Amino acid sequence: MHKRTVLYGVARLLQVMGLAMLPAAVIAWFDTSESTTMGMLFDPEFSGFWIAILASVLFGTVFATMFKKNSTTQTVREGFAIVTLGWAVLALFGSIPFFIYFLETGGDSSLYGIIHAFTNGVFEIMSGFTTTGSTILTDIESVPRGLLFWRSLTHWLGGMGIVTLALVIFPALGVSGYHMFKGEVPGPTTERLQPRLAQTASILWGVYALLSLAETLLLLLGGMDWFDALCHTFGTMATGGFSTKNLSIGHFQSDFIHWVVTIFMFLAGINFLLHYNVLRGNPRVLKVDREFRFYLGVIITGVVIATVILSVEGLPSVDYSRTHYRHDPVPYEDFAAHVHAEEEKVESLYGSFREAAFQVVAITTTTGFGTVDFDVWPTTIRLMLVVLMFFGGCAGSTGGGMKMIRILINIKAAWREIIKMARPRIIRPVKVGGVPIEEVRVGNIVSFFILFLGLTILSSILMTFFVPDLVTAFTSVVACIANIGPGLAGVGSVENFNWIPIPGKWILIFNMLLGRLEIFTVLVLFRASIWR
Amino acid sequence: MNIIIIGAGLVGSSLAEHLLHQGHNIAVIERNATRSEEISDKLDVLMVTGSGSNPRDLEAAKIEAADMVIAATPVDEVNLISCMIARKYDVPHRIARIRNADFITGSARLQAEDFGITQVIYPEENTLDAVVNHIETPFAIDAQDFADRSVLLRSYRIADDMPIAHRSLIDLRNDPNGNMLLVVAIIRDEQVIIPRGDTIIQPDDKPLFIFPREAQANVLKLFGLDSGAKKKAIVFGNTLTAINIARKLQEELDTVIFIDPDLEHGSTAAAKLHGIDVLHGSGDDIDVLKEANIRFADFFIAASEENDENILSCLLAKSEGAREVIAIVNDDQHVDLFLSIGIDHIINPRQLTANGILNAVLPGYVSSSLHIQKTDIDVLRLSVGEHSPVAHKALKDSWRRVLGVSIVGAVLREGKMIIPTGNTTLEPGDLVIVFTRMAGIKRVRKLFGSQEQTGRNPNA
Repeated sequence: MHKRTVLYGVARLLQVMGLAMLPAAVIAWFDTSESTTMGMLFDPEFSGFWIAILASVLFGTVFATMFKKNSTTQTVREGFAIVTLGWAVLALFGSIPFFIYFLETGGDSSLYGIIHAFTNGVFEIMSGFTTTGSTILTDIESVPRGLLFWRSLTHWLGGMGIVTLALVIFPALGVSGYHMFKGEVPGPTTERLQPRLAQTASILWGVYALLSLAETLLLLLGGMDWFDALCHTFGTMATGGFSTKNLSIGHFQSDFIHWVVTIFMFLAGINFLLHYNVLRGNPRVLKVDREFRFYLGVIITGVVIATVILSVEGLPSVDYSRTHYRHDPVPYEDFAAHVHAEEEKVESLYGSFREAAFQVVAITTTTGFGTVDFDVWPTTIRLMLVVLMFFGGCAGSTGGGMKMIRILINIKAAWREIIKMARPRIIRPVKVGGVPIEEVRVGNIVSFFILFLGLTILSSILMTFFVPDLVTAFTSVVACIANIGPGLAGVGSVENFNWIPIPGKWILIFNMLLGRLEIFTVLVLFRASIWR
Repeated sequence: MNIIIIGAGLVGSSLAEHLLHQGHNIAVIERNATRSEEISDKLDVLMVTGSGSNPRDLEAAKIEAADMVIAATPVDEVNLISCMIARKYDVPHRIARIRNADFITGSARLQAEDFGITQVIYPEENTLDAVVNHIETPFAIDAQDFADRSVLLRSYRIADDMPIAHRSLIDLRNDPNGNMLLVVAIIRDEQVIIPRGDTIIQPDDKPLFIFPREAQANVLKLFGLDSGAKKKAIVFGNTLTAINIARKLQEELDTVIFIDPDLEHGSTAAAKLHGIDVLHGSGDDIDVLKEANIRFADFFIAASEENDENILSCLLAKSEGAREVIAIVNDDQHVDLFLSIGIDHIINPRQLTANGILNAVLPGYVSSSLHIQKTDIDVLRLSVGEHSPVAHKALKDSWRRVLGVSIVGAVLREGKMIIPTGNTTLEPGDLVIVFTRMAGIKRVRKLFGSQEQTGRNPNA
């Protein structure tokens, strides 16, 4: 492992991030009420930005120059380190604006206050860069626009990073959009998009940017202002979930916006190589690609089940839903009014369908936007949503979770074992779309599944020390490792992660990183031999 | 005609032998010197030891004067190049045996023309067709199809309990199941009988039947066979042929199971076959056969590389309860022995390839596989020309000269099969399938006015 190469790579990322912060800083500069230069520099919002930009660009440039020499060509091993370290370092430097804002508005300059502000800042920005969307903000609308813009932008940048990783790093981990794609589309489209990865990456970024532009325009058409439109686009396309409103998408009370976001969440969960092919006029790939078909099947099934249950069964009683753990329990009357309001949303069949579609898509694609409080929905749906959290988007999309293709292959591998019981001599490769998956890859995917579940369980056990109930402990971990956003009970869609004690937050921060980087990327660095 | 045959393997040598008997001048190019010597000892041909892709060797085989080049080596590339060279020497007929059809059909931009091939023979297809023929009419001892598989020629060994036994041909004519059936010849005690209306079909006879495809279900009833009962086949082998057979049978049957003796090849097979269970195991391992539920198998087809293994596994499959076993064997020496020890069918791909090429080379020639049954009967496929002596005449008048040595099996008119009677009048454009003893071939050909293939034509 060439440590210099790693540090050089991270330094370059830092430089880029420093520059990416400029638009947010500009917004903060416009919004500030201070008129004097000194006042501006000490403004709780703007001060964070200039410090962060300065620090990132400075550190970035210094390290980049220091390590530029001798930085040899990268191999996959350097790639693992650059990605993991890069994500962590970006989250640290990117959290400076929030850290300073929390510190100055929190009014607690004790050591505990500093650590608290630091943890919250890192949590928020890690949640941003990993496109998770879990937040520690209790009143989002009171936070200055510059900061909100910045955390939404981290989604978008993180999503862009993921699209690149799917091409460069994840293939080495056994599953990637490119690999799956190559095997499944016969005919002239099988050619790699471009001979060089860098070219392919820029094509995918182009697709990403194009879809983002389309959504922004549609949201503007739906009546959002440019700021909300941009921020929500960032949250959608990166399958993140940060909103600028306390009620998330529910704030806008517009069916048009509702459906636009639903559709774009769905699109963001699809392999971007498929988008590229469709845009090039080859929609047949959608019919051929098994992962897409599976993804579509899962979502349709989920929507149908949820719609039927919601419209037939309706919501459980107020008394029942009140038994779910809430960190900040509201008086009975207020809660009853809340449940009643939720009930109204799903009263008609159309209402049930609209909300079911939104929630199923938001959870399956790991976006995590909300229009309702699904924590007061029937238990069957709550459980189904938790299960869908594990599914995630397609490989090569910005979605998190285990990825559809892995679930599909795991099911097929398990089915094969059953068949083998009856026919021990059978030779049966696991096939996706008629193309056999190499045994090495199948093993890798099965062990990923085990690792994912194992880490979820382990982290859940650790979380039980910091949160009072089982559902919160488990779903907070799932929401973070699968990069969803909201969980159930204490971290449900109307709750947030602010109240979780500091060690609990760090467990979740680590889980977000693990999940986003497909576990192996991170864990491989803990193997000492890779460094020698 | 001057014909150059490239490759003196089973296909090439069998071709050379047949064409020689038809009176052609043959040159054979063979790479292997020992093999060359064997051929030149046996056959009166111009033998050249060398490569068909080498112009010098081709010139040594007198390519300048050749009317036809038949590239029949097992290597596709050599066959392609031979034909390309032959085109440069203006040889009018250039025939290539191509195993991997991708060479010709793999790209829309390429045609056989581009390689200088005037006619392509795909041996793989012949083998697959032969297997399917047997599956469609189980237990037939000979099975061939004509005219785009719309006319079927079958031969059965008659058992005492078959509905058809002990009946005269007139009787069959009046049976609703038998009125489309024509008995062409009966092989009884190794003697060929050209039957008449009062001939009675006896047990242990091996009659040759011809009937249209649509009558297949009815005809099978005469043999006490049910055409709808075929469900499961087991294919054994480690060859591409075996994979193709399995894939083809999947279209015809409910269940196909593939057994591969070679683990690595088995993985390839499993990758290519969808909805077919691929088992790994040797063909002589009873446990593998049991795991494949051999006792429910209607067919067991052995198509591995090793002839012995195919025979052995077929015998084992038969003893374990497979209803009918078929062995793919590239060996024409011991066919009778194999059949006598209980193999239901032998399919010889190389023989089929040779037949396919002969079929293409000789106008009207269909097949000599009837020699398997030790008859001297040949099948000819002849078309009636405007000036053919048989045209516009009733058969009872025109056929008099060859009566007793040959019989008109079927008349195809505009894609429909007509069962000929004495009153049938042949019209120009009719395609007629004639069964004839060797002695009658020349006379029959004369009746149809069919000439030998035209010689070297500089305008071709």
